[in-house]
Amino acid sequence: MKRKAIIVILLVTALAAASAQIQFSEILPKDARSMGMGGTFHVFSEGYSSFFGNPAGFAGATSSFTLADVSAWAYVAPTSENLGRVQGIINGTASETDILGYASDWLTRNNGLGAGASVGGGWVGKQGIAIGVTLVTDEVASGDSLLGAKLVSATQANGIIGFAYPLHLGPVWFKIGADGRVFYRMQSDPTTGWPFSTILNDVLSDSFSASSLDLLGGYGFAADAGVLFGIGPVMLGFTARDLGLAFNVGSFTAQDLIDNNINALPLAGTTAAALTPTYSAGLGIRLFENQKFEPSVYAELDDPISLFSSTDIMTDVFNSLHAGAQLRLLRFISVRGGLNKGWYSVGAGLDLSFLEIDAAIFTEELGLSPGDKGRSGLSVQAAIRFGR
Amino acid sequence: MRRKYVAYAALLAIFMLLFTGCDALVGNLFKTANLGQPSAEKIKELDATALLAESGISTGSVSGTFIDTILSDETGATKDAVIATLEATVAEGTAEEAQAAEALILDIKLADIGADEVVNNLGGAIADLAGGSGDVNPEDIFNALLPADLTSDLSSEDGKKNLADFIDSIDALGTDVDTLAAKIDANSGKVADGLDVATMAQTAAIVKFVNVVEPAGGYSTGEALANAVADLKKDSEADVTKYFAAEPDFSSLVDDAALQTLFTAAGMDELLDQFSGS
Repeated sequence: MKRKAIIVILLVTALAAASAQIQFSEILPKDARSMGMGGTFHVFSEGYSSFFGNPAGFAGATSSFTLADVSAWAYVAPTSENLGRVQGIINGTASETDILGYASDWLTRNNGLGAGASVGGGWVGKQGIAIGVTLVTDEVASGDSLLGAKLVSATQANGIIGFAYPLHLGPVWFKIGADGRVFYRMQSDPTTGWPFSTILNDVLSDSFSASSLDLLGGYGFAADAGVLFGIGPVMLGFTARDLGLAFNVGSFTAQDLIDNNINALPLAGTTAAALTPTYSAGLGIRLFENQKFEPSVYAELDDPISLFSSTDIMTDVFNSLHAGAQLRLLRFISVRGGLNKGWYSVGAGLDLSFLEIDAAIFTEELGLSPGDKGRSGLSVQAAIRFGR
Repeated sequence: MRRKYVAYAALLAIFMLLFTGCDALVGNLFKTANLGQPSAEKIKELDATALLAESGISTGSVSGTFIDTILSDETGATKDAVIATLEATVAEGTAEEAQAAEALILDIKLADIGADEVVNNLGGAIADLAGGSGDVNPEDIFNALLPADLTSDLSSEDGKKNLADFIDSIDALGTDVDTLAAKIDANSGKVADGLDVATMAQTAAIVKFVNVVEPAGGYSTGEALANAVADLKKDSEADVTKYFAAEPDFSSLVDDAALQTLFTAAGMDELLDQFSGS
């Protein structure tokens, strides 16, 4: 008993200490499936998606093996004007001045400019056991002006082992799941970032040096947990992610990484850091599962715990609400739509035997109230997956 | 049969994306329906800590919706109450709180007079003008920087008065710029975490560009510049010296203490030299 108490005290102390360190927020892939549904599908994730969502989703009716799941997204509104600009940059017809003007315009009008990608694979067994590896990177420049913009780079590799257990009590079903992760986090200072304007000018004038890009890197351990329960097609769920202990990060530069590859990554840093835990809760309805006509709707709230101390619950609900719907037809076509804190999103997908292709156009809220700072983008996803 | 479905599905997906387009996605249903929006009545009652938090000023990007809500109160009572609360923090708060409060005051005043558009235009204007060859046409500068509605009707007296009032309002922000710089100096040049000092430095540069103008007798700074802009838009070679007591000495900006503080804090010392033409 005494030993257990000491362990509990140590854990609480470690978590309390973590709150005083550099805080790294979660890097979630902006995958086409989720973004097409307004940023939902984290609480009600299934199979491979549960490596980024709710571990209770590992307890599926079938097993799945994901050989490769690749997503790429860009934070540029996919208007015809922007597509023309991108084409001009790629084929070299845009001048340096044009590029600076585009960057300034994208930063101020789209509240950010950048791109990201995720790649991974894994196995989710019928018994609820899951093993996977994922890598997510997100590179975003933001600011009120080009000169003041900062570029924040964040990359995280994860090795994940999870387990979920289903229970049935009459008409009510439960799924409870958890996973443990070992991760390596590499990123620029989350507060100051890198001076985007300087980097862009240096790149355009061929004077860019990666040695000016300072990075922090370190490995740690984190856990995710979640629960789902429902009656028939109606589901409720809750998930908590990035419940991590403090870890240490060390400093290096992007040039070190170029010169020494993986050997440049510090393993014994001295600066304490911690992941910021996130919580989500949701309500979902999925009808006619695995039938030729399978509609589903989801509503999820970020940080539902904070609502208990809210002085204006309705305002705070709309500030954290994601809603989305999917219509799966003939077991292989999906069309999606959603509201991401009020911003519209659309998407579509094809599930061709073991090949899945999805795409979405989205806008997400970065500000403090719906409609304040919308950042638009597009996402594409392809996966080679056996089983659903 | 399967192949036929695939073709339909691909067509459906392409059709959907084309039909909806991105423009259709750039609206916010909750904002349109006034759901989850800040309220002027509530903002008026907030203390300085809550004002700074809800404005997002310390996240590097102030909330436009927050400021719009403050300014939506046509009586001006919300703006006055908020600025009074923030001014008290500028006077009595910690160094970091004072900087954030003064920066927020500047943002509110800029948005109130519509000059936030000038700041937004500055980045693009610098790139456009720097990329050109030969002499810069004054009209290009006005068109690149100033809000279109202020420069489209300069042939009328009302049009000139609107532009003059706008410039005089920018001129009046000099004190706020100096206060912000003084608060940074008082903190040994260290800027509060999260403040976008580079954008504030650009704002300060615009204000100081106006401050350095010496109007001829009988004109306010705004009137002198509005008349000059109107004349130069008609004829880029027009003699506008009659509106000014002396030719503006933009090179003196490099010695302006407030600009030095802000540009140094933003790591843009070299740009200040370029702005002032040295």
